Amino acid sequence: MIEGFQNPGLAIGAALCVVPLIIHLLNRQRHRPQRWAAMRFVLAAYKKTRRQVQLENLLLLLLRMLAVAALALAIARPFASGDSPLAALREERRDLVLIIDGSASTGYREEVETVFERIVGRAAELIADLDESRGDRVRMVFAGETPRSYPMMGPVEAASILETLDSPMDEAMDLAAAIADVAAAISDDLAGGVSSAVDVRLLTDLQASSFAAPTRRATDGSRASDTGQGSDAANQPLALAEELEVLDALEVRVVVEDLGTRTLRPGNLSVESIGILGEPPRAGVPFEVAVSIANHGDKDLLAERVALSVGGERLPSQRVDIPAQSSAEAIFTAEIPIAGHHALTATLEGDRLGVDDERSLVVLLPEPLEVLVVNGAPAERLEEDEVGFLLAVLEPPDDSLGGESVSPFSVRVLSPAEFAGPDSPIEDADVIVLANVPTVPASAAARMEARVAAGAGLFITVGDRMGDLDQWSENLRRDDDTGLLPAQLQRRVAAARRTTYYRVTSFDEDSPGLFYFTDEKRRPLLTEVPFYEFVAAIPAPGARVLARFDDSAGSPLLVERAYGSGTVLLWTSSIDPAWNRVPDSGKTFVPLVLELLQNLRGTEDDDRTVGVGDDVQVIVNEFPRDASLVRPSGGQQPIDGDAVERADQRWSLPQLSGTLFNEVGVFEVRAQGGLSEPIAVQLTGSESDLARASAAEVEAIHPALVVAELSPDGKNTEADLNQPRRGEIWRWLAMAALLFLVGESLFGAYIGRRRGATS
Amino acid sequence: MARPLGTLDPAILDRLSGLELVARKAVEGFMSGMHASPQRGSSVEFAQHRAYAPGDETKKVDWKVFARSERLVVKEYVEETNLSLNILVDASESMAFSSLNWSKFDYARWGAAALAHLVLSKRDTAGLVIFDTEMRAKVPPGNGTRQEIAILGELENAAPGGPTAVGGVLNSLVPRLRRRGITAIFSDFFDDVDEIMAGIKRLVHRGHEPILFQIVDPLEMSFDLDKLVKLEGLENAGDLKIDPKAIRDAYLEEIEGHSKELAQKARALSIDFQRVSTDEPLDAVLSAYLARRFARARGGAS
Repeated sequence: MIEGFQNPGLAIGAALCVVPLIIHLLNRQRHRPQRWAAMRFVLAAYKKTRRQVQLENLLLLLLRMLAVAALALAIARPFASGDSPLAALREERRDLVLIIDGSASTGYREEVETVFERIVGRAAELIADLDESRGDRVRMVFAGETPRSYPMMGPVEAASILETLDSPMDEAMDLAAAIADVAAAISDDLAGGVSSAVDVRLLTDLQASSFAAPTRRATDGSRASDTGQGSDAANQPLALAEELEVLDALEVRVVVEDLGTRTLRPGNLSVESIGILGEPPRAGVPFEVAVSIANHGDKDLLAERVALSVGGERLPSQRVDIPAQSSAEAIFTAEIPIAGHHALTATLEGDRLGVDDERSLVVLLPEPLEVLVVNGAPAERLEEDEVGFLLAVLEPPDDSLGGESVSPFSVRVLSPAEFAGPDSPIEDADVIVLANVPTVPASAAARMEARVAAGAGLFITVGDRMGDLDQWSENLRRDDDTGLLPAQLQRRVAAARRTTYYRVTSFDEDSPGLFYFTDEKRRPLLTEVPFYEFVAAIPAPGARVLARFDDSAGSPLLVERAYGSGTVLLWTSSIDPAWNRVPDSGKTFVPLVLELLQNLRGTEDDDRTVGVGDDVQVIVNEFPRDASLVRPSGGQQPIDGDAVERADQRWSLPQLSGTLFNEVGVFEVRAQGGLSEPIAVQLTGSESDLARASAAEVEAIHPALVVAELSPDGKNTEADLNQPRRGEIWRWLAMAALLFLVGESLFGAYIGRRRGATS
Repeated sequence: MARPLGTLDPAILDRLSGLELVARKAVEGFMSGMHASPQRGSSVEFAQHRAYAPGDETKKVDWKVFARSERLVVKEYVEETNLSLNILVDASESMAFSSLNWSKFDYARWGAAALAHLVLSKRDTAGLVIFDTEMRAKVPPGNGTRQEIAILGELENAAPGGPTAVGGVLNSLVPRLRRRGITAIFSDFFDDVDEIMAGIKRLVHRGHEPILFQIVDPLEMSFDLDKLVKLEGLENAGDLKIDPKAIRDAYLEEIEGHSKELAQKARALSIDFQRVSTDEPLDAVLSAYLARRFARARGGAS
């Protein structure tokens, strides 16, 4: 009869119907004694009226009990199913859950409206069909990368919220997450005692990629479901079919309404990617930018115009031919004279889906690396100078064509005495090179420790000027091996130059500084170079040997250890040709020096090219006063919080939440003094492929997914799809309670009057 | 009914110390100018003319009227007799009921004392019987101050208790009331009407003229109880928990019906029935009753 209650806890209130009975029984105990003479008349009257009075009292009591019970039941909001005897009384309240596909692909414009506008229009229709007075409710889930879920609300409020949805989000739809959100909400409702059936509608463009999820979504790309059980697997979000299984267990199905385009594969052109070819770009040095254009349609596209703007300046556009369902690349040559972060934006001529016709990339053109070279053995001739070859690499002479060469290094050479002085620019150096320095004073060592700890690099090379190694090491290492020196220097090892020499026998191929030599062709450049002398060393704890000699002990050539935020490299041979032939070998020495020193630079930890919704950390060189974030669409909002000074004397802004980056394009962090730092937000590539899933494919995912059929006029039929609905009957109960109360009042008044209210 | 000027509130009587004083006060209140006997018959005081009827004594024919009008009429006179009054007071437990400061029994004995004083003060005879189911005390008819003292003494000493059986008591009393006369019965008559009337009839047949004073409490007649009550019946009538409102109408119907039936049957026997509520002034009640009785006597009505 009654299948359950929306508020089961309140149904217990029906037990309050015994209260009138209890009051009645208590009143029976409260008879005032009264002596009476005319008992014969009382008895006669009692005998005459007993039945009627009992009947009246019983009826009155019954009315009171029924009124209380009906009221309590009405508040508990019982519901009955269609086969219940109360079916005729039930009100079929509808709980409608609308999953609105808010992915970027729904921005596709067809005829006069976009797919998204069609979805919102359909949502408005569905909401308009609801009846607020009947208690109908709506829960809206705006499905994007993460579902934006609104609480259950009345149709009027839902309609007003719907009016605020004027455009899709610049992100893909994670349908499984949206279904999970819906399932969780329904489960919560069930746990809370609300158990009315719900209609779940998915209004979507039926983009195939939205429905093509792995069996279990895994962040590392592996299919966690294949790995069986495990706590990690249990914590990972379920894939679409699995989420639907949860929903199915709740006896809820998802009615999918296809509001997408008419064609199965709508044509769409998108900027698939934008990237730098070759070496990382440097200020003032031309570099190539590859822009990949994807044609997702079924027709070949010819001479499509592609443009690239660099830092807001537009380069001459190019035309590319793009075969159907393929991609083509346009190569641009750009040059940016100023170091720093710069935005590159590739643009196509607009098509029906505009959001993917532009893609931006922020590149960092690094400031020249400040290299402080301490020359322990200067000489007139380059070949004899300790750092002669090193400087030749770091500051190459101008080419014969008279062009202005741009070096990524800014080198300053000091003598050991100058270095030891208080004015030596240790704090300004990005990399310090100690080349065969006879001694390192304690004061300089302390300053170096601070600088390296803050992120600078230290490159130590040995030589004959160092004298006693223990004494030399005194200020650079401590007893617990926590000093700057990454290895304990033991003794000089020398080979007979004419008969033998040492070579590098192995090196760490994962080391970025030596990565250049991992290629088989280049490997000999490192492994075949003769070394005649070196200093045997024992790596300190935490140090990593990047290259070893082929002596019996496998002595280290290159030892690396992190120190604070910086890195220390120890080269156990000389940097001049005195102890080895590396400097003589240009093909070895140049890339070796460049790679090692470049990699000693502290890495930038602020990635400025992110996806929609990613958090962004911005680090700037000067204090950002009154910082604000300018959106691609022009809006500007201040950045709350203060910037924090870093150890490397740069400033870190408060982390910018991913919720700020909810549209694609170039954002800018601006501050007083002309500071302008770009951030590129890119669209997920999958959104550009508008290929649609067929109804059969969708329904094959899980039986809980049901695609609504289209009526002949193209409208979706009212696909109630025999969702079991259980109607509420609380209004009738409330009415009954009212009637009982009125009946009780009238009957009570009648009895009172008839019994002659004498008081 | 508006209370006549100078009447005595029962509350005043209640505060008077002795029945003698009560009787005197009550009688003083209504005895102004009421000295004639209510008995009609041959006497010195002319009452009225009436048409001659066969069987009338010829000596009563007014020949002067016949000479003037040739109509035969007889003279009637107010009878002056020696009145004998028997006062019967119900002292059953039901008479002890009271919703005021005085009970029905109190009121009955005030009335009895007043009548006794009235009669004895006219040098007539008066007697007293106090009864419940049987005679509990008796003062044989007599006159004089001693008689009054005796009657008042018995009334003073009596206390209500025991069941009621008015009819039965009358049956047993009638043979013992040798001197015919007026028999005033003070009772609530909460008994079977037929049994009561059977006793009354026996009195009438023996030549007595009964006067029934039904003494009731105002609460008994209104049943104005608004809370749930447990009625504890006097005279072992048992207890009953009731909602007074629920049975009020039926109760009033019952008690009024009983009273009406009693009055009706009394009227059928041409005897006086007077229902008296204990909140009514005694002198006013007696005065009104005696005035009616006197008027009826003067008017020749029985």
